[in-house]
Formats: sequence, structure tokens, C-alpha cells
Amino acid sequence: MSDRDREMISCEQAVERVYEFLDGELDAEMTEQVREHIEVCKRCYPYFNFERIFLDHIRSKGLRPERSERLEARIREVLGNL
Amino acid sequence: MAAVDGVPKEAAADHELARVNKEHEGEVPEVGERDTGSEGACPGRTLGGGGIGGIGNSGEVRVSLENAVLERCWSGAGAVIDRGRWDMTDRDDAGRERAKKAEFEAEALVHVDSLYGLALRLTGGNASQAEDLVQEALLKAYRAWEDFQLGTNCRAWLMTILRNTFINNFRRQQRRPQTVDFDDVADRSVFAEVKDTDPVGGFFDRIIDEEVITAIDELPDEFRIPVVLSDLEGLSYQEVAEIMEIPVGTVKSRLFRARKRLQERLYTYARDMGYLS
Repeated sequence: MSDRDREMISCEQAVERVYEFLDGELDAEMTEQVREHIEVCKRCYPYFNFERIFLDHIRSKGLRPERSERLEARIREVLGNL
Repeated sequence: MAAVDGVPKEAAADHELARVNKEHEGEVPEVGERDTGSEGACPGRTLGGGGIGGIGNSGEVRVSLENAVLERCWSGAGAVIDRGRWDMTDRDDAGRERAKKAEFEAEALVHVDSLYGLALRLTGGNASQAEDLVQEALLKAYRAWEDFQLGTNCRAWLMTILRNTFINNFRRQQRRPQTVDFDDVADRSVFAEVKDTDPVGGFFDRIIDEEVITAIDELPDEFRIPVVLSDLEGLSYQEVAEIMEIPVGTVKSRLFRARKRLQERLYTYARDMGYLS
């Protein structure tokens, strides 16, 4: 089936795949179908965009190195005793 | 609103319940089998920057640890090499141990802060558990240090050991897994609330890091762990499923619910702080 023959997926079908799409978890075919849909759908595009911004936000702020002098001292001590 | 109403309800709930109640048998190998070879907080994903159009499947670099043993650096008699790989032949046991320790301190201990950061998120912000976890993981790494190939990604290797150590401990301790219901938030959508006033989520930028971290920490274990592994460490659904020994569909549904919960919470916080017009 060529791209032209293919029917576009519905909003519901697109939205239920939002995280799989944003996580890069869909196969190439479905990724393309979702992309086609959101490119032209006035309702879904802003929603997908919002979810993407949200995930970026979690990812950029959620994990950071944390300093603990006590921990480092403790590990050096344990290693020293080996 | 029609678009977001289409979000599926939890489909795998029964399956999940049956699965988590099952006694866990095998353990995740803690040292050496999985290695994402990554530096950043979210290595596997290409999300961000390029916008929605630029998203691809997660790429992953696997480091072969079998080769590490074969290609291990080998210094000449008594020579001190730059990278400090300890001499396998000439020193006595104590001398070898000292050299190994020096090398381990130089290569591995510099990553303590990263390890502790990950340990804190995995344990939901429990400092004493997180410290124990880092110590346990580093001791394992030290014992397996011969298998680590200098020049490959030490941080990624250590993070993998820590993650697997955590999961194995978690499974051992978890006699009765909590089954937490998030249905109260699954049907609501923050986007529906803000689409007319702040459709690009500008309020997220005003939320301080600590609030995001607290929101993650306060998720129940079953939901926090997939978020940490997937969103913070960039692992694929399949990798999270294997580590946690749950079906991929369960990973998907837990991530969905956990993210909705986080979103709802951050939105409420932003609203209370007056960040929304």
C-alpha cells in the first residue's frame, strides 16, 4: 500500500500513542503515520508539542549529580580497609 | 478536549497484578552485561532540540566487556604507565592491591556524585538507602575492576552496576508489592486546562528543580522506577521491562500513569504559585 492509498489515522489513534511516539518506541511505519497526522491536525499538534515539552522538562531537571562528603569519606574508608 | 479523551485506560492492570505477585526468580546480572555507554542524563533519546519532527529510535552503544579482559593493558616490569593499570606480574599482592586501589580511585570514585544522584532518585530521595546503594555498587565494581576496560565509559559501567544492584535488592525486599491506583488522574489532562492560556507549557520553566525532583521521589516505587530508568536514564521500554521483569505493556502503562501524575502535580504547583494566568 502506498502512502497515498493509506488512510490517515484518527486523533484517538494518534493520541493513544503520544508517549510511544515521543519515546521513539513506535516502528517506522507507525511513526510515519503519527507524524503525518500531527503535522496536519490542529488539535493534536499542540497536544503532542505540550507533552514533548513536559518530558524534556522532567528529563532535564530530574537527574543531577548530588554531592555527599560523608559518602565519599565512607567509601574511601571502606576501600582502605579492603 | 476530544483529542485527550482518547487516552487509553489502563489495559494491563490485571496482567500486571498477576505478574508482580509472582515470586521473582532470576536476578539481573549486576556487573558487565548491560552498558548503555552513555554520558548524559538522557542518552538514548533524541528528544528535544529538533522538535517533534526530529525524533528517532533510541540509539545505544554497547560496550563489549568480554573484550576488556583480552585487551587489558599490560605494563612493563616496574614501569609506571600513565593510566596506572596495575602491573600483573612483578608486584607482590599488597603492591598490586595498592595500585588497583589507586587506579579505581582515579577512574571510578570521580563518579560518586553521579552515582549518588541516580541512587537518590531510585530510592525516592532516601539519603541513607542511597548511600548504602552507592557503596554496595562501588564495592561490586571494585571486585570486578579487572573486567573494566580503561578508556571505555566508566560512568556508564558504574551506573549500570548501581541500577542492577538496586533492582535486585528491591526485588528481594518486596514481598508484597504495592498496587497503587492512579485512576483518579488517568483521565484528566493538564493540556486541556492550559491549551488556551499556555499551550506550550511555559509554566514548566518557572518550576524549580527541587519541585520536579520531589514529585518524582514521591511516586510509588512501581511507578517511580520506570520513570527514572526511562526518562532520566533514557532506557528503552524493552530494557526497562527486562530489568524490572515486567511485560513491555506494563512498562508502557506505568509510564503513562506516572507521567500524568507528575504533570498534574507540577501543574497544581505552578497554579498555586501563580505561574499560570
